[in-house]
Amino acid sequence: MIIHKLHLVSFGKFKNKTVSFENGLNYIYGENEAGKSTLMAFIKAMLYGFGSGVKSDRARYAPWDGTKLSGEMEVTLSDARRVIIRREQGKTKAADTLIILDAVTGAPVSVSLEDELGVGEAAFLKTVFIPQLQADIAGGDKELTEKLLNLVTSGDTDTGYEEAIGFLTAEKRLLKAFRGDGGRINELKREITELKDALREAEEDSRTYFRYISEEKALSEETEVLKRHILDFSTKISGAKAKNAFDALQKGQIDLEKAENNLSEAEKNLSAAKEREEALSVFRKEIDPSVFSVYEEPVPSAKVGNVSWILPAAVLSLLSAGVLGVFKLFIPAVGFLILSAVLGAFAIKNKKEQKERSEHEKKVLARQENIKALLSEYGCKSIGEYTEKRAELLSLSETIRLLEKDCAFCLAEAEAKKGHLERLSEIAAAYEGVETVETSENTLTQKLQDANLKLQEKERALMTVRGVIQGASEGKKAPDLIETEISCKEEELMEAEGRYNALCLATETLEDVFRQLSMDFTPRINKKASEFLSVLTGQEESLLLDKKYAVTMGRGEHRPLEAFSGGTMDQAFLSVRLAIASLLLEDKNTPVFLDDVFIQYDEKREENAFKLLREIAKDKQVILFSCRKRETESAHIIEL
Amino acid sequence: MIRFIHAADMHFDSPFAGLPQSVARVRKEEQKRTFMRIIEATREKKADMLLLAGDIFDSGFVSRDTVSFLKQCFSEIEDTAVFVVPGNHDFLHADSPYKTVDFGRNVHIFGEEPETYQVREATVYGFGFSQRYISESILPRVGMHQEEGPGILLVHGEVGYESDYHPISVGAIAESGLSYVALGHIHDYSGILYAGETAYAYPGVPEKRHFDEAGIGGYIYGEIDGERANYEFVPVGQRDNVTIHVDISGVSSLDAVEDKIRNLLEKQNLYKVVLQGEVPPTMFIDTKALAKRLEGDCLYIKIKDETAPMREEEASLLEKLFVARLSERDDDAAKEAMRLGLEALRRQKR
Repeated sequence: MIIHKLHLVSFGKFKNKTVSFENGLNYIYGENEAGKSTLMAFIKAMLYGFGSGVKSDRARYAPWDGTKLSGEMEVTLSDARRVIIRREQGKTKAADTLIILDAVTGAPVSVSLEDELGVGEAAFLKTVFIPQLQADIAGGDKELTEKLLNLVTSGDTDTGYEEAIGFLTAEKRLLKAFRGDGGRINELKREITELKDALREAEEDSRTYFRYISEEKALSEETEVLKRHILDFSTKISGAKAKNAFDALQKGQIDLEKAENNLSEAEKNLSAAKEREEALSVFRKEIDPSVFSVYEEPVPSAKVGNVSWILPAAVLSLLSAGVLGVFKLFIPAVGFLILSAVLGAFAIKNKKEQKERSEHEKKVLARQENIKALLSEYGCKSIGEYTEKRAELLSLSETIRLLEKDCAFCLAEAEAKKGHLERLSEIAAAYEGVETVETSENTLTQKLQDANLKLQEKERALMTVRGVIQGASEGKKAPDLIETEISCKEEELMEAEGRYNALCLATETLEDVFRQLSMDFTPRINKKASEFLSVLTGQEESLLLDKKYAVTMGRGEHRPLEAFSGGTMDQAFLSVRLAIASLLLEDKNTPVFLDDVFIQYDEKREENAFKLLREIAKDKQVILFSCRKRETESAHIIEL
Repeated sequence: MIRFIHAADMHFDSPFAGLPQSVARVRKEEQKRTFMRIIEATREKKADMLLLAGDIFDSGFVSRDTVSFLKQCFSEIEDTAVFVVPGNHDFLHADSPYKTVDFGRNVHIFGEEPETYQVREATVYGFGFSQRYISESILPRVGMHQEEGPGILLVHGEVGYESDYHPISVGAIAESGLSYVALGHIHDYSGILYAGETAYAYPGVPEKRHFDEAGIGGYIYGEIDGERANYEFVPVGQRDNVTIHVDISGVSSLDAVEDKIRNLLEKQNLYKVVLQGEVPPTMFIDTKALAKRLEGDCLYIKIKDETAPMREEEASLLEKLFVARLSERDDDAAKEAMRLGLEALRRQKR
């Protein structure tokens, strides 16, 4: 680009001011406050706009008469088209207008000024738009180095490579601490490990849980079986009881029958006795016992009854003697003869007494007749019979009393049996329809008790298992939810690791590119800058940006830039600037602007500087502002 | 006429990986509600059978809630025979709930050997996984269906000749003599397919879980009446997992990006939004913050930034070289590194 003409319609102090430039080196001079900086600002504004904010050109160069900023700049583009760039301020930056017109036809032209210039505004300011450098580098060595470094690498003194690396590193450290196990990634790994442990535990719990569930299933089945058994036993017991009841009923019936038989027997006996009593009732009248006293007189005949047997006894003795004689038992026969003699004597005595007796007998016979008559009244043949029957009658009342008692007893017995039978039949009725069981109730009861005990045991076990199951389902996290958590953490970990890797990659790449740039670019800057510096100082100079972008310079022995004078530092910086500009914009003819850069230069070096600028101006337009009037060859001189 | 409902791959107790726990909880609950809709349909249609073709559980470890939930569900359709074949996810093992839990009298769980049941005029064949992988077809062991009345096979597996998840060849289906093969394993509805006279289908996951299970899930309702048969897919799923790619090139502000995404969202769905295109270097998208702002417009949203930084004239040489170097690689790490590096370099510009 070549700038031909500036037309400041309204910009800062200028109003309808026109300034013309030529191709090559232009030297514009004016006293302080003449408006050199305003002109530079105007050129920049025409190229990049008025900007916005309080520190922008919009504010700084607001026209003194209060009108809007506006102006035109006529240039020839690198494609040889000559155009007019016209800008006018709007209310805001967005409302600012830019029109580019063909200088010949006046038709609007579409041009990207950035493309034309090859740099954006920031880079423009730091390369070809060179202000009074002293001020810039006054901050000291570090700032200079940093700015040079940034200038070389990013074309922007504000964005630092070191800063970028710092940022990336800090981000990396958030994910993985430099030392130890800090950082999000390690934290996540720890959390995942913990969760996985919890998951294993939960899975084990779950396994145990279902084992308990199946145990519960088995136990409840067992208890059901036991309950059925118990029910069965109970049924059987009731069957056994029924049998008992039926048996008892049967026995009760037999007992009752027996009792009733006894009763009728007793009653029969009683009525028989009563009949007999009735039959003997005549004997109630007693015969005076003295009537029978004849039998009681003290008479020898008391042995009358014996007489009759004396003879047979004698005969028996004789027969016995005969028998003995047959057996020729002499001695016993003698004894027998003695006995017979005694008996004979006895018989003699009886004869004497017979007389007395016949008297007595007569009396007796009379009485006997009397007695016979009496006895016939009773239908008895003998006193014995009378006595016997009278005694019988007398004993009969006792017998009847006893029989009556017996009857009453039997009746009571029968009644009792009857009552018992009623109770038994009631009991038996309760078992009506119940199948009887032969097994004894005791055996069954024992079995039932055993089953009950077993059931209790199982039910206790079941309760324990249910308790465990209940407890297991309380407050425990389900494995699937833990898995969800793990999956979230794992995803976060993956992201974090991805980010970490990306940060590492970004850092490595940035460092790598930076190294490459240093290797590619720095030697070229060094060469170019050394070339320029040699021209400026008039002697062979070597300027080096080292790997760390510290600037050293010297002739043979290199020393840090700060070791040199302000003027030399200025010249070194100018050399680097121009070197960067020429390298960055190698293929562009973007003009170079310099604002009073020679203030600290001695005359000789200033002359050298002009020589350098004239050299540069062979390729591109150079516009140099200064506060000093100076004659210089091959330069278009403009006085403000 | 035989009526049946065929569902599969419920994957109960799935962790819903990739979703935050709060959302996963909601989805787990909805997963069950969707199954309740299937139970409801079984009752309404008075279906003779409910066929569950495997992967009912996501793994061998099943939560108690799920077990009692299923018992409850099955008890509500007492008159319907429920047939279950264990799949590769919930294959039979000693601690498997299929072995330890009593699911009810109307529920038949198939073992590893083919079994046959008669349900009215239909014969139901089935067998389940007892290990994670089965690479041999068990179909030949089922034999050809020769009974009167329709034959239905319930099986988990993959249609094809080779698979570790029980291969089932189309040829074998064609020669089976069956009316219908109720399949499980594939997570998308397959459509009603035919091999010879035999229909076969995968109903897919009823309630889709992940972004790789997109769409609204459902079950298959079938009626077989002698020679006539009718099968239809009935959607019952509640939400869709939608992945959308949004090109935000030329969108000038984060607000505009947010609005652009918001316009694509439907309240009931879950979204994975992949941002693409070229964005100006001054626009740094905090995907988490952006997702947070859009949370109210759908059940869940996650945003992935795959944008590339816009080529910029003002870029410094270092930036240009940095971008050029990373552009040589074409992976996600390079893209992210590019974004991060440029952010680092341009932080102060902002």
